[in-house]
Amino acid sequence: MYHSSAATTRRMFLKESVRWASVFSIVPRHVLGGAHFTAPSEQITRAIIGVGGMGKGHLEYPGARTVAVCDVDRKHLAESLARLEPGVTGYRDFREVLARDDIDVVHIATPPHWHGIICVEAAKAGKDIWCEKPMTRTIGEGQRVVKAVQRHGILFRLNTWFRFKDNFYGFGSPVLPIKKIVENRLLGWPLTVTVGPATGFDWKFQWSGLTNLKPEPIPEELDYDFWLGPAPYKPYHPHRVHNTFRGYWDYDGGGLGDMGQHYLDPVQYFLEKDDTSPVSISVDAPLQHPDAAGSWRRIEMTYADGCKVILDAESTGDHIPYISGPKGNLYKGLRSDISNFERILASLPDPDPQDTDFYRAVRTRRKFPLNEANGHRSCTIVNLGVIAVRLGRDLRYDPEQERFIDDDAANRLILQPMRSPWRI
Amino acid sequence: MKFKTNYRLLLGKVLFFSVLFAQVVDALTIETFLQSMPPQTMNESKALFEQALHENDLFLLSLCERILPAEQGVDAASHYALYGLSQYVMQPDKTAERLRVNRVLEISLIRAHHPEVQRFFMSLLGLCGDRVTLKVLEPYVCDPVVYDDAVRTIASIGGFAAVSMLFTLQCPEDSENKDASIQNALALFGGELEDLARTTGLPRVLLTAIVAPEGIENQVYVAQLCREALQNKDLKPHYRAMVLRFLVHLDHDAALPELLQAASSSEPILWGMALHLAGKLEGEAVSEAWVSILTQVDEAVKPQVIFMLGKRRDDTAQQAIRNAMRDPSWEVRRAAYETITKESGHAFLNDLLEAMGRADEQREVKAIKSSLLRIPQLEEAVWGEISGDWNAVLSLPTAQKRAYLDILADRKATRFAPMAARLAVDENVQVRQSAYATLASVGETEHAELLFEQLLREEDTSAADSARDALAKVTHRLGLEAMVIDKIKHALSTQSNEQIIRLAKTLRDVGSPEAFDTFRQMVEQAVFAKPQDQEQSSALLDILARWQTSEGEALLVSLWQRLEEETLRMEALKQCIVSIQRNYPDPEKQHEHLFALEEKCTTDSERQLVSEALVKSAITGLK
Repeated sequence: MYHSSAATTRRMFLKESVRWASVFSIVPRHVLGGAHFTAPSEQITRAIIGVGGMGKGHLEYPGARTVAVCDVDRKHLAESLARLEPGVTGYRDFREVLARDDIDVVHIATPPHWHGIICVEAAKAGKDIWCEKPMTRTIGEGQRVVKAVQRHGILFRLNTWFRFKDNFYGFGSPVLPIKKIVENRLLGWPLTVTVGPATGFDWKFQWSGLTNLKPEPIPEELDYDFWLGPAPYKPYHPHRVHNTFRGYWDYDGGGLGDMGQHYLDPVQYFLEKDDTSPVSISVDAPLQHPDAAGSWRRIEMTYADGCKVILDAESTGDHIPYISGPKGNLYKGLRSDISNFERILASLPDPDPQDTDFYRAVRTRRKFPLNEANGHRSCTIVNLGVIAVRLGRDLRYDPEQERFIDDDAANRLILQPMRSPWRI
Repeated sequence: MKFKTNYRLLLGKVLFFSVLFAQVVDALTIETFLQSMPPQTMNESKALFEQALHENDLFLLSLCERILPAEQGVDAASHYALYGLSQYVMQPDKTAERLRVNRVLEISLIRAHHPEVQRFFMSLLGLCGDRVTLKVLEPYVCDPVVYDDAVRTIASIGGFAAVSMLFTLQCPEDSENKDASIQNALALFGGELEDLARTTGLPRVLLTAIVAPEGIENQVYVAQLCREALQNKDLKPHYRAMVLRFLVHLDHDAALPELLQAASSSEPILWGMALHLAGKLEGEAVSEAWVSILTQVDEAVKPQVIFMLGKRRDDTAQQAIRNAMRDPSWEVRRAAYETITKESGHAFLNDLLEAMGRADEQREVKAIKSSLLRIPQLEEAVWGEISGDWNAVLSLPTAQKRAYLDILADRKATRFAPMAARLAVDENVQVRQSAYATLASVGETEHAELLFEQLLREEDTSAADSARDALAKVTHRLGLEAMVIDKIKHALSTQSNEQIIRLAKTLRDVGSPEAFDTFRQMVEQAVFAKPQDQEQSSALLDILARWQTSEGEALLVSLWQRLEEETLRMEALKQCIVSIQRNYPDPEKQHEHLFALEEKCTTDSERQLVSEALVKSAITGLK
């Protein structure tokens, strides 16, 4: 039986791994040295919760010293501990991590159905938070996270970065010039933004779920009940967990849940919608399965001022503008039909700065540019889409109250009861 | 009691008829219906579910009967159908249909015995169930397996009130699990107060006020409790931050002393919260108070106070930013630069330009440049600053000149091309290089001529490369290929070897067919000249191997085959290989061209050279 309550040190783990695992090839980082080697010092300390998927990447983020890792899969935990310095402790239960006074920041890289709970508990424990996208699986959980973070003076960073840097997927340019174009009203107002294959964004329907899962034995290394956590009990099947969990509504929202916040957070940023949400959502999709997320064709969201965001899964070709406005269009590759576009663009002032170093924010206590509040709003866009797809009908939304208008079924999906003993 | 009796009667009737007529149900209709699952559009869904709703209840019950535990076989179509139906009847104009579907789902729940099937029907009822459903679910709250599912479904349908009622429910065997489930579901609707009371140890009156501020009766007393809590050093910093936040919400400006005190705390969460909340208090007096503690706060906090003041628009705050730009601490100066926005930028233009003049470190120049680039109509403002005198820039420090040039390049400020032209002949080589880069984006025809002159005049090789690169860019941008090629032709006869190579590289960068023709003449003349200038010939072959189009490769092969002098012939072959490797990153294509080359080899040493390249290419392919 796995040590469920006591913390497990790396040394204990390696001992155990002889019994548990097939073969581990362990070369400690301090032996190898290397670019990311950090000596224990006055550095910020962190714990990484969820180290099986995205969490592996978090192990490599520079700027803080990892002192704890946590996962409900013993294999994941062993693999991550083997990559880290001696002295890092492994945990199965995130609550034990949060109880440690010597941890400044927690990275949350679990599947999304855990994000809300762990964020709120981390805020209540006074830890700053670096949370993977999508921020929360439901709108209601997002509201709780915002409240907890702000109430306790915690800093929060959502882990998508396209509003700051990097080439914006297949669009062929970073977001900064788009922000310049939009905030200087080069294309006029209101704007329509189309996010889909034609403009450089793949909705990744490979993350759809399977509809014929037959129960299988739970692997020994996985604490499946803990993995499910707040989600309804469903018999174990390997497709339900780890690399393919995104295909099930109980844990995420398919390709939309996976990529939505990456693609839509920058849109929210340049459309100046960081503090609001769409007022109407229309959808064109096949009927969905109650458990397994499927594909959809088009989701159209409209803001109160007339700006639209179209999530298009099918159209292709270079003729579809990424942004369309009354004064002109912007196409993939930062092309425009506005004359002398490049020169005009260059002459525009830069947008206000965004400091992208979260650990600096932890030191300066400045709010991170993609924080709990605007992160919740961009996650709401994703969740509005998910709800519209699941219900297969058009919806109206009140961005102030954060409730659907005259739609009981949709409102039931805003905050969903959790399996006991989990709560938010 | 009456409800239960009626419901049992209804249930009895339906079950009776379902058994009686089970054989009458048209199985084909259900099969046909299920074959259409999942419908692809909303219209298809509507047609299908309307059709299903026109069937009798037995049709719907038969659909439900197809739901089995997964281990007995998964009928995905039935899952789709029942889920779709439960969603369809939640539309506003489907009240009657919703009642009917709910009853069918409830009956199916009652008839189900396997927890997995029970959970399935509960999950559907959680989406479409109504008040009647709550009663149907009650017995399941006592079930030892699905009690939690039942409680959650009740919570979905009836919210706090429905879950609260469950405490009165008497189960045959009372279980702690059930009570825990109910408590857990209730917490969803408002467990904050209990959580805070358990974890913070703060007075309940204060916590009640924090959780529900609209219900505060004695504001003065609650504020007093906040102040007492802030003095409690045993209270964890993030709880003190919570109290501080609430005090500001309650007392507004009157909480300023507590904010200032918190800013002096050694707890980052607390001083961070104080600075965040400071932004919520308006008025110059607030800024003055913050400025007055600048000398007292910790070194780590001072830059953050500056950053906060930068978001305020009053004179006191603005003066603090100006002073901060002259502060000995880099972090304080950095905070001042970072806090400048598009809106505030114009007010600080002079200060930023002066700071640029003082800056002697790259990081500072970069920070100031970033601030300047946020200022709208920056060029006009700078034009005003230098009073329209281009020569004024010549006396600026090197770092400042380079920063201005970078800004002009970023902004593509063509109006400022004369400034860049003046700096293109600056005595400092780095300034000249920056000026060339700027002219690449803003230069006109006259500047192409200047760049051409500098290309030949530069003593520094990397500066000459910068001039060449800029010249090529201006040439392409303005379509000056003919002019530049003409100038190169005229210059060739009078230049030194090194300059000839620079001109040859310029032809390569221009890259037009005319440029290639000119280059071909140059290289043919050089490699077949007698006496032979080996160094120049090799350099030209090297340029040819890096030609932008495949014409270079063809010419190299032709030269190699025609050359007789062995050293130069081998050099040409080497460059043929380089050209192939560069033009064909795909190993298969590379092989094809190298094999073709091998066939043309006439000596063993030539074959060996090509064969080595083939091996290298094969290894790369394997990787």
